[in-house]
Amino acid sequence: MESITNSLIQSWGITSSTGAQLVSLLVMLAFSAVVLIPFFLPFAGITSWLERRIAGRMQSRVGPNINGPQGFLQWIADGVKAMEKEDLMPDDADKPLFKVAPYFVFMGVGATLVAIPFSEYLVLSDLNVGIFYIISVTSFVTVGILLAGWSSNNKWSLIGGVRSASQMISYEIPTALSILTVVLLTGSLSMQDIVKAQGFWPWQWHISNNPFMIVMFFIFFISALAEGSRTPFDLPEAESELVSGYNTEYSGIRFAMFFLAEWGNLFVIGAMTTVLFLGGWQAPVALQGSIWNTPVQFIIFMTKMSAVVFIVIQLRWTLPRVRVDQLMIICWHYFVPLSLLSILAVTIWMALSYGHSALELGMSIFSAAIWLYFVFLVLFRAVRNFKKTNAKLNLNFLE
Amino acid sequence: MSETYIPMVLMIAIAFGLGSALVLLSVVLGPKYPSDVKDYPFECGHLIDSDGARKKHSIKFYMIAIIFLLFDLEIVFMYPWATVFREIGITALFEMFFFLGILVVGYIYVWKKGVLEWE
Repeated sequence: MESITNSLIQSWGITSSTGAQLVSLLVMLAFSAVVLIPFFLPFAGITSWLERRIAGRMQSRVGPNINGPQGFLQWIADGVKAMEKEDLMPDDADKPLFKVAPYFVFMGVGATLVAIPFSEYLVLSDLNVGIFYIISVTSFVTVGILLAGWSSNNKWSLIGGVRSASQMISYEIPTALSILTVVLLTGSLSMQDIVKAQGFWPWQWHISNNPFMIVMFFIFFISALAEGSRTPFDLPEAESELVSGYNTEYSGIRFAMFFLAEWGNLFVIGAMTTVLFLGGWQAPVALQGSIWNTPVQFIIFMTKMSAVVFIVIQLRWTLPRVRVDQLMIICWHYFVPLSLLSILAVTIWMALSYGHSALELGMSIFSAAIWLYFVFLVLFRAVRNFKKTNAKLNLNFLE
Repeated sequence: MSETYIPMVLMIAIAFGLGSALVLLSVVLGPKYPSDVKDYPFECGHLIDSDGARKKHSIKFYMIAIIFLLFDLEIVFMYPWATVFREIGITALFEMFFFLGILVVGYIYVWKKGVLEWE
């Protein structure tokens, strides 16, 4: 950010300090608007289309395929349709809160984008408390959902809202504890420092620092699913139990805002997993240090992020929903003790291996081998099962 | 200093503005046909029972909220420790063991009291 601003100030020949401040403010404004409107909104929309397409494939049906090539423009059609609907509000609802609730959810997801590093230079603001900021700002979403549930004055909404609040605050503890191990390894809360502490190759990522980080990765990933209320943890809006949960009473564009935020949350989940555990934008050493390598780093970041998002989408259409008591037991009886133990193990390993770089490298390669083995096992089994079914791989999407 | 925090405010403002713009568009484009039946809360057709939803809730939700506050505060204390762990070294390790020990005693108490049971 600052390097872009400085080069602009130099090329425009601005010398006064007010002028420089104005330029930097304008750059920030333009950049925030670009990240939010032409990047984030289409991302959320396209993900919603992609999710329905993947769901169709997985359930042997078609999915949206009418609007645009392959139904690609379905998300625009959905947005326009939502705008043309009547904005209903029940009589008994708490009207100001009812109106304001979707904004909270939307702002909470938008605000997280500030601290996410897309590449070495492409980050809106490299806050020195970056990860802390993201943890705190995601609570906006909880507040918004609780407000929506409470203000609707509807039993389904209220149960959905209360469930959502208890789920999100419960899973915030394993999430925060697993992020803590990453902070331990890095020694900094800044998102850029966390990425810079890793490298391009899989054994340089935080996930393969030692075997306990793999455990922490899984805890983080599952807790992030729960925080983003994705299936198997989509209890707040369990369609088969609670009509639609906290957004039962919403219609039109306010309803769409909740769902925009939900699919935007997918991006946040993918980006956080990538930054914290999977090496972020790290490119090979030759492709670092210069602002001209930004596209390569951005593509690397987006590839990893998309892979995580794809796994999240696939999980949604594979697993059934858990019950409320199971959800709470998973968190409080298993994840909290497991993450506390893992923190102890990671700190002990750090204290033991401090200064022995060969030992650290050996352990990294060992634990990278462990998780890569599991990845290959899954891929191998998928291919083998696919061959057993005698099905033909159908790559012709034009039907 | 301020340069790092301005984008935060800007982003929240833009998100709010975008939301307002969408709602405004929907006010312009969308129809308005109010009716009594539409304004009832949607409770699967139970119109008689729609005397408000804000009734008593299970105590478990409140207990979870209180435990969350305690645990989250503990975690807030652990973050500064994590950032300086490499510099302080083995002393910090034992101090955090002690701190976590107290936390775990409370955790075991809460578990034995049955607060974490959801049946």
